Amino acid sequence: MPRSRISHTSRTAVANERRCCAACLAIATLIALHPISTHDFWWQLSRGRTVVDGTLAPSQLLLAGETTASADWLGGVPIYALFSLGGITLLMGLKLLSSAVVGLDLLFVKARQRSLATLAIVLLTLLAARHAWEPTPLLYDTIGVTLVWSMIERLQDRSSTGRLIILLIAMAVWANTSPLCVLGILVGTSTMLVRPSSSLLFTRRRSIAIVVMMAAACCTTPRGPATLWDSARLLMPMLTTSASVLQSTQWRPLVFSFHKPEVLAFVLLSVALFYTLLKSPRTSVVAVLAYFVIQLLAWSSQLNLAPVSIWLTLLLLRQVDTNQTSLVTEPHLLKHESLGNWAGKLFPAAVVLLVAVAAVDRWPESLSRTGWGIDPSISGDEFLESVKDVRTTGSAHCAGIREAGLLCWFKPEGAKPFDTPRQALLSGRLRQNVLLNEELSTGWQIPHRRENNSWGGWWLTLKERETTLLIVPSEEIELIGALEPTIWKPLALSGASLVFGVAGDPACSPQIARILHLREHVDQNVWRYDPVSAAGDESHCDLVGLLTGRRTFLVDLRLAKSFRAMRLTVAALRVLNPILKTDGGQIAHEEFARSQLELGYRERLEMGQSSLLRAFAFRETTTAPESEQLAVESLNLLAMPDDTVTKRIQTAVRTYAAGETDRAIRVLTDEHPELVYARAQLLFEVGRLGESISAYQTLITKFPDSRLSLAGRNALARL
Amino acid sequence: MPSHDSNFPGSRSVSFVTPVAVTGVLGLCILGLCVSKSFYATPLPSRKVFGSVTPPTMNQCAECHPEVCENFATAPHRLTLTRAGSPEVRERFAGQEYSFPESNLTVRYESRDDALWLASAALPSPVRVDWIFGSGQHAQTPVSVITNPDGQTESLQHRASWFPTDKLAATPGLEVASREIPGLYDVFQHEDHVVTMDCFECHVTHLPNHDGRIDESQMIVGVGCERCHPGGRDHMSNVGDGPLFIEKWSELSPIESVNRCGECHRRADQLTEAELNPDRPLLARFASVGLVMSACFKQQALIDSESPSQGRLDCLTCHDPHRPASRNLQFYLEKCLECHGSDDVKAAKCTSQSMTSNCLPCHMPKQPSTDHLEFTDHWIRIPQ
Repeated sequence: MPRSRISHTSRTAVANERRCCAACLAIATLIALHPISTHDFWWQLSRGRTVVDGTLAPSQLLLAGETTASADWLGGVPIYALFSLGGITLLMGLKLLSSAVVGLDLLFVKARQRSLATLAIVLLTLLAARHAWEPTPLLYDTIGVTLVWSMIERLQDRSSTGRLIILLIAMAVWANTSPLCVLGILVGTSTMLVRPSSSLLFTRRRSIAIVVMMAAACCTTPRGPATLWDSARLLMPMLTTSASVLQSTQWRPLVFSFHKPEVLAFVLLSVALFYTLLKSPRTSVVAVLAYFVIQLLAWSSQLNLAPVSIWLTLLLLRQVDTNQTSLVTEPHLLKHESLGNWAGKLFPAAVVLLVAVAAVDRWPESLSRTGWGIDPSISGDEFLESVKDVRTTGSAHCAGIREAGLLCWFKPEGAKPFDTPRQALLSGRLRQNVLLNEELSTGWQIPHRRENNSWGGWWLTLKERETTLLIVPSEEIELIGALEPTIWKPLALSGASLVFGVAGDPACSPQIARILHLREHVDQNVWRYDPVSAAGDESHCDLVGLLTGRRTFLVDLRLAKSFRAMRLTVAALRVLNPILKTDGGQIAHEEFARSQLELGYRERLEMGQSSLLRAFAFRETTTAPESEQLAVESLNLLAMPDDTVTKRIQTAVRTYAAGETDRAIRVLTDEHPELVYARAQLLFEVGRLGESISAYQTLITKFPDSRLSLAGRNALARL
Repeated sequence: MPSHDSNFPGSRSVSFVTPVAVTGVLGLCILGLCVSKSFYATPLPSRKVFGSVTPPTMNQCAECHPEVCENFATAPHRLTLTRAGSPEVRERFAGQEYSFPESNLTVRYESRDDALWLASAALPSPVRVDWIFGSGQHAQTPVSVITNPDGQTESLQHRASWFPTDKLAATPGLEVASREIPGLYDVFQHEDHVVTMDCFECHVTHLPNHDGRIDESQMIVGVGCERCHPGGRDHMSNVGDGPLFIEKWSELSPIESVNRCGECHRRADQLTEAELNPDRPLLARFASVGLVMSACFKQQALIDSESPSQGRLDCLTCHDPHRPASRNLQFYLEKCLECHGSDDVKAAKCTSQSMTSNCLPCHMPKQPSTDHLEFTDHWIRIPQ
């Protein structure tokens, strides 16, 4: 071959590699460039701080209900160290660096050839493992999988004591920092079996010895040999806990999260590997077994998705290489197509593009889009504000790890979280925890017997645990609503997690009183809601909002929903108003309709039937299939006035539902009590208090016999 | 150079069909098990009375236990909830009126279309009464059910109740309107879904509901056999060919036994320290709370007796839940004397009165609840 042609081919290959590298780095950055949103974040920071302060059993110290040591006691230390040194900037740097390094490692070290198909596989992997690019021990698990894979391969290539010791140290570090070290043993075993060693010295007996030594290395933790059992239970929680309990926890099976991008990416990778195994001229039984173990682990618990996606990709890249080698060494096998040839260029290019698009979008569990900082779904600013003056003792029931973390980090003294889901799983308390959350959500307070004859009801459990604080996610509308009539009173109205204290507890009383005053202010006084800027706030930056000026309304919607759950329905409508003005979408309209229905129901309880304003506002905006039945049953509309009044109210309602309340008010005249009442209600909602009072007075004087004037008198008494 | 396939049998080059098929079937089985387990797993246990299995009716129990069921048919537990449309209820309520003293608002019950209705100037139209809570031993309170925006059952508890004097008067606990605003709250107290379900729970044997909406057609009203003797279905199905296991209350400890009654009559451990004060008149209404706070109850473990039943004190010591409570004072006196009048059991003797006098007026006095209602204080103690 002429020299110039070789040189041209080599230049093309280099250019290709550069393009692959650039694309990989760019998309890996996009995937990781999202504000930190893992619910584990504050908990890991707290654990790290506790260890740095000199404790070897952080969970025992941080939790009121925990008595056993944790194997992965060191997990929070690196995160805490980075946070202490450089704050969120360093942790964001860790996110970006880890996704880029893993991406490049897969592309340039684990894969033999760089092609569009390989790039697509790597990017799909980065997307499927996107939860690993957060500052939590899941990152160590994910990196652990690639490290163990590489170390075993190197050990197979040239077995030496030094390499073996490094492997064992890595396993020991893994076991002491993150929970899924058993996965490392599985990966190591499959690597040894899938890829036969080139050395005669690497016998089956030696392989078994290595696996045993890896397991022994994992036991060098404060939990000792129990580390392996703990790790196995965290990897396969179904081993000890029923699926019905797991469904409402972080270990819920993946089938319930099918709509998420990472699950779709995993499915695509699984299909690719299945196809490769099927088409391969050399498929080993172990590779097929590994494939099914990966599927089992991934589908049984969504927490496993990130590390097993990496494992799957390593297997896939290995299989692709094997297939290509076979085609070169055994040309008669050319009838089997390789993945690259089969897929062509169009499909991988489409995948790369889709991954890039998915990466700039909002992740399902986040409230912000591509950006920097701490996502509002885990932000602790409002939490700190609510607990800073509270001096409670005893324990706190935290509904999840986010709540436990927030309390430990922002209020390390005083009441401690009783449990975290993970400790509960390991200690056999998860069922009790899930039942307690369920009972809190359904308002099951008084002790009654369950179907299995055990006693249910949250009162006794919380009393036994000496619970003085409840910390619940602000997304749990049902739970917040169920607490409303109980002794638990909120210490904040907004935030990622809401703290509730006991009415009458001197430690909480001043804060409860402050919040009671605030409740009245937002719902009954002149109050206008100022939405957060499109570019974010002090704790996070929304790059998409910054560049386009378009806001996401998720924080506002969360606030509106929690206001409604707290029976602050007028305040909820005040929050929704700016969203409706900019066409906040179906969810905002449904929330608006729901608020109207609840106000209508309240009117029904007060005067026997709902007003036309609330009934029409509900009917005009809801899309719920059972809306008509709900309107009839809940609102008890008995008689409709004449057409003119009805049409005028409908016109006003349409404008009102579009967020133009002032324009809607202008349509409502003094001719009929329904019109005057509607005007008074809307004037009150937009904060024109004086005019609202005047409208109520008109209603009472002009239509004294109307049932609505009764509601008018009550409204005036409240004002 | 060694062959790539030499070391591990699992990694040798094979036809893909067999391993893929075998492991595929195996893997799919595991995966299917995993997924189906998630989908079809037994739901978390809900409240017993909401259970999906319909318990046996009292008529079925009566086939083998005719005597106890016959007695139970007239027991207040059995009659604690009645459909308002029944002829007896309509006869009792129809035509009765009551005026609330604070507002002078009058309510009137009417029987129409085989149903009982409440009419009042406070209401835009008459409201149908759906249920009557209470056996009539102390009082009967009408309740109307409504549907909330979640489609769940809620209730309107009427502020006027029927008393054994055959008159309407203010419902105990609702003597004063719950809100200062006029309107429906003049005649009703609105109970949210949670409270409504709690109310029904203590007046039924089975309360099926679909997403919070009570299924009245499947409901078993009144406290029936299954409520206190769970496992009736298994018990019945084992007749003839298996152990007829059913829980025996005599095998429960005294506190377990009282707490079973306390499920509806209140448990002491569900009250706060401040609430557990013998001077609180409201406490007399909750007999099971007072009983476990009594010295007689707390010290029963110290009694040294050969007979296990002697010296045991729980609700069943004096009350047979299958019958109306005895009105015979001598019966209760004898119960006290089983310990306090026996030489075998070293319980304290009364020093201020003769041992044959009536213990109850001093140690378990009646506490007035309303003008029409009084309760026996079960916190047995020496008056100060």
